[in-house]
Amino acid sequence: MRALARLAWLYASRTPVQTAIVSVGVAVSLALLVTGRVLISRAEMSLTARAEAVPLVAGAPGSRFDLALALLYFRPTPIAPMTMGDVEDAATLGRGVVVPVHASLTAGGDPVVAVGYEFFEQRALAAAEGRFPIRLGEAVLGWDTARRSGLVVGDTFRTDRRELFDLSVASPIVLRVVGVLAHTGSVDDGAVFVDIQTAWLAEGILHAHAAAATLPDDQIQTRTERSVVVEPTSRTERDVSAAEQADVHMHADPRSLPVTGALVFPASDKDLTILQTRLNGDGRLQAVRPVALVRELFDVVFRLRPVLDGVTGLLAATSIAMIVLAAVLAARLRSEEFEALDHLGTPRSFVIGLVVAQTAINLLLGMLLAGLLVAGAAWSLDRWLGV
Amino acid sequence: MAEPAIELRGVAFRYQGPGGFRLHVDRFDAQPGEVVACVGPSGSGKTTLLDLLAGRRVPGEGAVRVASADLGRLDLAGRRRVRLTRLGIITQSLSLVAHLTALENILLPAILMGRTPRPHARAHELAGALEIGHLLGRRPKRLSQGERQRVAVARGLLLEPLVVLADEPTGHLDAARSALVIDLLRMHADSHAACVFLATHDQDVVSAADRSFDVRELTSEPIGDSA
Repeated sequence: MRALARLAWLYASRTPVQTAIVSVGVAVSLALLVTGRVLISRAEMSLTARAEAVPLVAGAPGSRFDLALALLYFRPTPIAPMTMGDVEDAATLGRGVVVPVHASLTAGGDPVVAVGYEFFEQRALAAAEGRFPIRLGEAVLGWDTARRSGLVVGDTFRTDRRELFDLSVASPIVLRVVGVLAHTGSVDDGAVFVDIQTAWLAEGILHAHAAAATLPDDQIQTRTERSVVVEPTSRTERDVSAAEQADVHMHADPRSLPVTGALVFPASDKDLTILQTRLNGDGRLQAVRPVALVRELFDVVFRLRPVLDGVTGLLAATSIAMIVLAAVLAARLRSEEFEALDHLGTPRSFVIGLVVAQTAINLLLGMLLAGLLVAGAAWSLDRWLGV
Repeated sequence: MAEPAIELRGVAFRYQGPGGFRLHVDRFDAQPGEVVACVGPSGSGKTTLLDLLAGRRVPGEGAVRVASADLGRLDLAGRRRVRLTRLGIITQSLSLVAHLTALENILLPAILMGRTPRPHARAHELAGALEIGHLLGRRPKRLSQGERQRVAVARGLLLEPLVVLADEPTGHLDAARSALVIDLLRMHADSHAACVFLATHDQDVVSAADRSFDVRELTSEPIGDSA
């Protein structure tokens, strides 16, 4: 047995190209067989886990899936905003905690999510460093965002420019890092969280007036005794300094301010039912249970299971045929070696054992490689889903 | 008197195929310690006779007894076992395994039998005697034909067999290297009381043998077209 293993391994290691070709073939076949099921299973698990953490989401009427994706995964989706007044009305029902979420900005490509302060408590998020944002222009970074950007508490960064050529769109604002969230293994790790008013400031709804008279000449178009005309492009970013914060104001009804939607954490199952009914009541809003959405989504996926099973069966048959073919071709390639072994008096069972061992080594390497491929696919899926 | 190392009695073998022939041996013995050279033109049956002695072919009639084993009474597995454990085989085609180094090829019989420590020393000793000690890490494709032949000779002698069956063991060698091989085979026969049975065209080998015979003397019917 030892001789068999030794000779089989010597052949595998001394003919690396053949071994690699067969092993990769086996790996790809096995990975194709397994990956689909693993990915569906993991996607179901991760989507369900996040959906279960938020009993109810509310927003303006439209696509239920877009609403859930925007509020749970901070994906940019084309949904109409609801108003802060709607959020306050839902909260005054006294059936649970209603957390406004406004996900309209990005910074370095990462979503900048404006949330009510209760968000951190309800999602059981903790700060690994620093604290949560409580003032305008403050931000707390998700774990991955902090690691990727290299930003630490005390650093500043700016939001991404939303429109490059339209000067009427508010310019980016400077955010100051006041904390880094502990690792959660969820989509929260890849986001930046700010106070809800900071988002309105970034959108230009809230604003302050800088003293134009104090601006440097290169930012001034014309200056007279009675007026100062500022260059339209003079301010490429806005920094709400402590001095300016007291001057921040808006020219609108606070209840009319936009939010992407709201996360609703009812006090009980009964409150959940009541809140969902009330919010859906007059058609101005919609309230959706994320768990039900995920189930609905996977019901559709699993309806395709017979097709998936058929494809899997075909793949399995093809894989087995390929492995047998590889073994037969390998045996032909090794005919001179087997002839030599026959001359020496090697038992026929030993020669057959060599072919089997060779096939087993290829299968083993193929399975290891397939494991890596499936793990890689699962890792990519996790990254994509943010878990 | 000691039991013959090789003993053929009433052996009849018909070689089928193009240029077929019939080999008939009434009686043939080779003693331990004896070097016997079998000569004859190509296709006259030398290799077939070696195959009969190695148990790779089975005669239609008669008895073949080699290294105390009655090959006619053994099944295929039994004959293979005798070949592996008691015989040293040196084939004309050399039968080296392409992906193994020269040293691993020499050690192959020991590897197949699960022995390791002593054969290593023996392999190096044989390689030194055959002047291939510096080539042991190379694979066959990086050896000349003569070097491969010496690797095959070293492998045939590795386990100190009772009977060595060698088919043209000097066929690819120059005179000096032929002399090395002949000396080594002679020494093996003397020191291990082993019988060395050679099929050869090489007159130096024939001269070094204790006796020689033409395979056609054993053939009862003329050799076919290709003989």
